[in-house]
Amino acid sequence: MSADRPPAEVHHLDLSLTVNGAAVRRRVATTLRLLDFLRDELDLTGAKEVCAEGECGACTVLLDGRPVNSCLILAVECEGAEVVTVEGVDHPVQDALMRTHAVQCGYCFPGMVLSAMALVAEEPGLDRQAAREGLAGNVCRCTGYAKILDAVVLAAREAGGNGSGETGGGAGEAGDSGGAEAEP
Amino acid sequence: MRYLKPRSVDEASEALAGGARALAGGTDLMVRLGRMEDWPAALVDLKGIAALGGIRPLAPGEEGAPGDEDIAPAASGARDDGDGAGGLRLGALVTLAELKAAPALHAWPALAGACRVFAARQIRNRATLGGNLANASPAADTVPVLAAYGARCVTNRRALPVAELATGPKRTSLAPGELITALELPAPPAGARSFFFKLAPREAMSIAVVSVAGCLEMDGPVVRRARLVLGSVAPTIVRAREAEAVLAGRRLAPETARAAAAAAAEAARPIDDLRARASYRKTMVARIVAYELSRLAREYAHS
Repeated sequence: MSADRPPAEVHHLDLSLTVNGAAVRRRVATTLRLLDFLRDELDLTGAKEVCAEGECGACTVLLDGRPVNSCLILAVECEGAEVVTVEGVDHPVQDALMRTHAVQCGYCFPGMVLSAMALVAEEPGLDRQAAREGLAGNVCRCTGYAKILDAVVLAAREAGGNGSGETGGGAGEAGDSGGAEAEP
Repeated sequence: MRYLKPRSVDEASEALAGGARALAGGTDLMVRLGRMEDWPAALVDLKGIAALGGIRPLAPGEEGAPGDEDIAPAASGARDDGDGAGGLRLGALVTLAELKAAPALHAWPALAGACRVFAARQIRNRATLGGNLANASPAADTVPVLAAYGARCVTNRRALPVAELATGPKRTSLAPGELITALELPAPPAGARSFFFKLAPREAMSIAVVSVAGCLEMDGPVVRRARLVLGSVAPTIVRAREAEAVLAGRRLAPETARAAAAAAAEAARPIDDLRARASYRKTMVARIVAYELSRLAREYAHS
């Protein structure tokens, strides 16, 4: 049925937005996804395509501060918006992920970092269950969730103080749940 | 594909009447479009229309016509789950994240519950209530709950009970040029007790295998009226009217719960699909209804 339809005519629009703090102007096809715009037009290949249907979170970016799946958004929907990809991030949550040795193959990590960042900003001092719920839209194919959750709880605890990372005592607890853990 | 971003409902309506597809959060539409590479000739992005957003109390006039025939809104606001607030008008473009964070939602705990199990954060930041309804999936999380609470769907042309919008999977009764503008959630009835149970492999990111939403108007331990709505067990959500009739006027006790559960299973017309077999779905409707009603009945066991 639908496959018999001729492909829609290609239209282009001028697009202005901010990506990682820099103003960007480009002429884009109306059918271009935000994910392809970032990767192919801007060479920002941090956001990854895996499922292409909003299930896995590998393409997560921040759109006006909120984590979204860039595979489900058209570039033209982002006129005037502020987009942050992992390339534009320098955040304590990344440090926490390194300290807990949370990275395995790394494919889910750009998305994981952005989700974790937004989560810690929204819920400083969150507990492990809140971290699991908050990261439910980011799937790790290596299934290394235990250490990822350790890192997020650690970063949230450090952010929860007065924002200056005054609690150095969190690191010792980082491995406390190193056993098998189900998906968040 | 032309991309249009109108500022008014009338402009959007005109474009839709001309054959354009509506885009709200895009979390379902983009999956379909991307997979089929079947782009429409024009897409109307509704997100530029301010009138379609926002959560606010229902104005008295809006509440005049009840969304459904058989549960009247509370006259006095006396009920045990809520804070005496009236109804709510939820703009069609309200995202699931906005709804989940809305303090006013305390009076509708089953809807708050549906928000919690709705996909995950990234999707909730985009997906809209109007889209969840217009998408017409029998497995939509918010729709059985909205129907159980007697919510109305308001379009630019009419208002109708939420349960009447979808006519089948991915099919609605929306006419060309018609778009959902808001949802009206009436005040919960006096003594309202409500629940939403979603059976799915995972709490997050799962499509419901079976879901059941219920809103019971209680007078002490006696059910004055009940509304039970089943998801994922028919081409659209379905009211379990026989089960509601079993409950009406009866004391909520284990026997009543069992009888209602059996009647609810009869209302289900499920199919076999990759998520579950029909027979399993039917069985689980009965189990879920029995579980939820028994849980409620225990609260009244000593009264």
